[in-house]
Amino acid sequence: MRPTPAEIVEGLEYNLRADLIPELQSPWAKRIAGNMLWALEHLKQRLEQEHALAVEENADLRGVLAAATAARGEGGTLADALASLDLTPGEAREWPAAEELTAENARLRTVVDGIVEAFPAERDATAEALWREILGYIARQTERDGTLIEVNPG
Amino acid sequence: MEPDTIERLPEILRSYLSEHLPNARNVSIHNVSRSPGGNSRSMWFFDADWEGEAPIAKQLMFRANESTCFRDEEASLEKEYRVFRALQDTPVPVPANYWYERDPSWAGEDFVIRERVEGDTNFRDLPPTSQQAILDHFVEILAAQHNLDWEAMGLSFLGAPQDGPECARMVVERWERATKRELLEPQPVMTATMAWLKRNLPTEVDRIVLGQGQVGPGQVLFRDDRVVASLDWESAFIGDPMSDLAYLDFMVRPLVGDEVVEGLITRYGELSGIPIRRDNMRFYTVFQSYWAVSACLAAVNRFATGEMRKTQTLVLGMAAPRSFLRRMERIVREDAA
Repeated sequence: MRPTPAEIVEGLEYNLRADLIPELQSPWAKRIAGNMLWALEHLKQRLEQEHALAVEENADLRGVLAAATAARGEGGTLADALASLDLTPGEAREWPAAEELTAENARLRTVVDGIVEAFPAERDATAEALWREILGYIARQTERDGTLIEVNPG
Repeated sequence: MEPDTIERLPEILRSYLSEHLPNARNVSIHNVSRSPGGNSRSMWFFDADWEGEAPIAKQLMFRANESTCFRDEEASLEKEYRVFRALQDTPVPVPANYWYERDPSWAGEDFVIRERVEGDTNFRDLPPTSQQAILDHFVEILAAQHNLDWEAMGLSFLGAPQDGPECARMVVERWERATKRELLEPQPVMTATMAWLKRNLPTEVDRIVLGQGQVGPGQVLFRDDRVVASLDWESAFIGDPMSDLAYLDFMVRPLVGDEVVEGLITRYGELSGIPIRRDNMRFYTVFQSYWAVSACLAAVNRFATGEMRKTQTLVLGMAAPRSFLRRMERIVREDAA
């Protein structure tokens, strides 16, 4: 439907900037108006990008689980530590609803959390490689979150 | 605070001061305005006037317990008040704190009334010479703070570690609990950082001190290139002095550069007599980032669950932790490379 939600948000941002903020007198009120602008811009970014970013993150998490499964197959202390974890990556549906994506994301993140918590204190080369894989996911996820949060409302 | 309490605040303050200043008559309240500074607790500036004698300043602040990001378990208003009182008349300049009130019949929640000191907080826009002068003075204060006898000052209630290794272990355990309590969804970055912290706990601590937690520009008022008041004590702790030094380092290095920061660290070591432990500083750079993100998780929790659905809570919870998150993620990843 037109206007899109993002276009409506842009209209709200315009009125805040052009009509309301110039009329505000107190520093506190100006600060809160700035917060509202940030929240609107964040909302717009989520409307436009959140779904795609969640699909990307879930694929990334499945990659970590695949690496953990392979590492477990090599035996050793890491395999013992991960023995009780369900590392099933699950299947990515082609057109997932938002609720499905969120639920799947929570499940996958919980498994990755479990891997991190179970990690053995003594790490051999296989464990170090998996650890770097996990940190790689975390770095990419920090970037993905940043595109929604590090917004400049002008 | 509730909107009707905010509307009644001038009358609440007039009644409160009238009751607590027995030798003051005809108390009046003027210029009540919301402070735009600070991210955690709500604050109002106000001026008071009266006839007769009263042992307090006439420029005051009302600080409400309502917090966007802290829970009482980690950082209560009462704890902060007690630290401020203990620091009165020490080399650490602090505003006078007059009353901590826990009777909810006044304003619906706990609050503190304290002196309002004149000064600026906008360090970023100062010329380099002023920045250097303020930091030089601040390091003198930090060294003096780390030499205070916190036991004699009655500050053991903050939680005193028994020995060096316990300094880091105590704060890590405290903030791991807080993080688990506040998380609404799994955050592998927090879990991985906690794993890193537990693997890198410092064991060598040369002196167990009163730490401030959040340190440096933004937490102090300055005037004429001198620090006139240290404002933020809600994160105070007893522990490793390298924690404060690490916080100061990562807050000011991007503003004043490596050379100035290294000079400050050397000067701190000379003034305090405490050896600089770089490994401890690195640990606390990650830890301080972890707890800052953790505190912001409480703001996200409060907003999402409806406990405090205000945009200042949302923005603090989501936007404020970004630089901390990036810093801790980078260091944890560097160590695995």
